[in-house]
Amino acid sequence: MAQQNEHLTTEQLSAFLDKQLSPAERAVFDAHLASCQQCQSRLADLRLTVALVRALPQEEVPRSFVLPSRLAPVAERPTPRPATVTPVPQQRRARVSVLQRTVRTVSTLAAVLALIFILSGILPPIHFGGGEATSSAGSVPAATNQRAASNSAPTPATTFGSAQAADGTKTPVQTQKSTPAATARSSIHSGTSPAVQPPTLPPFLDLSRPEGRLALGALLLVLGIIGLVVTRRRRGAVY
Amino acid sequence: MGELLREDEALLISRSQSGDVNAFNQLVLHYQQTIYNMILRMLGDRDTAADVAQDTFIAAFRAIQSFRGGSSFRAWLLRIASNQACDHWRRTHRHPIDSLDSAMDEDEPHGGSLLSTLVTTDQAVNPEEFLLNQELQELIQKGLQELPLDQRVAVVLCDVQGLTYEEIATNTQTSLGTVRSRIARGRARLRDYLYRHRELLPRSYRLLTDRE
Repeated sequence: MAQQNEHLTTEQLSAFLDKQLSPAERAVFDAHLASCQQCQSRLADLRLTVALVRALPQEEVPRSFVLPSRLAPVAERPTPRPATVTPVPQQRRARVSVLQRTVRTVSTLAAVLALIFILSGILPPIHFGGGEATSSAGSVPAATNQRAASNSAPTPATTFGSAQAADGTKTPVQTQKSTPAATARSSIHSGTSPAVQPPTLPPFLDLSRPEGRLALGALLLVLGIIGLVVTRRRRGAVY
Repeated sequence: MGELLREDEALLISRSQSGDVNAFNQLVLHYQQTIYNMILRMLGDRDTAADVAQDTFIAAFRAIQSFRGGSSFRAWLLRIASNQACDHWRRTHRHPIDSLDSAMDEDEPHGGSLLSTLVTTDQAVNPEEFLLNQELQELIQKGLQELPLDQRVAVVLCDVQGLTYEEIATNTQTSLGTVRSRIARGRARLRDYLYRHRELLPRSYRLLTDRE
């Protein structure tokens, strides 16, 4: 009797709507509800609330959520645990990172070697500064003569240009970084005899000369920088 | 979309478990509207709901090995969806309103009819069949978003998705008693919200307002 006079709780009203009251609860519920206007209207309110939520329309999907088929190779290896469905991209990523690391290491080595070559290419001219200076001073007129000759006659100009190109491929940075003496010497080389040049070009012979070391150093430096830049970009794209 | 036969679904699941994305995508096509709507009612924003739905299916595919046959695949997907939606909500709402809940959740009876005065009598006769206009839909949606996350999950799973209390308990890893309590408190809170905002309701829904 005392239970009947107590108003029903919201939980009881809510559970009633879902038919979740135990038989005992249900008996108390029915007995009270029959005689309580207040609980009847509370039940009506709650029922309406539920009806409003249930009446919310099912909305159409804005797009399809199918997974891209590129996921297929990822999962094509049947694996015992769910966590192992993911490793293949990790493997791929690991393979890429190993490749990256190798390229970066080689590039760094190349850059270090390049610095050594460049230093050893620059140092002798400083060491023998006097001798180089005189030779360069003597060679300047020869170079100007060459230019004058190339301006006047078209055929020597082409030979001069091709000779410079042949030499230029070996010494791209030399003209920028080296001393005036070195540029002068390179112009002498190009000027003297393009036919004699090729035998002197092989690295073994070339390394004995400072400009050869400079050229190799510059080449290695360029390669090293390219390697480092490329691996950095790749890393950015992977993650 | 037609109903997926139980055997067909089981086959698609087992093919998905051996890594067949195309099989899984058939399941996606079948369940995407359910999942999208579940998340939409949880979060309220269509673009966000689409993103979270996509994440849900990716997560489901990755975890499909852990699905045990025999239980409902739909309920399993809904669990992932509700977890994803809750995670998203927590990430974007750093200061939940849950601290006020205990004060606001009144489980005690209160006087008078409130909400039923808001609707016209013919609709009240068979409320499940009425069509909600846009404003009322938005109001209900906002009311859902006002609910604390645990109550919102329970109410959406129960009243939008029609899961049983047992399924919701499994889904949220709680007891039946907790589910019952959360649903009741969520509904009561929503009722109060709708009543507080009755002035926003279209004229036809407040013909009998404030009779108390």
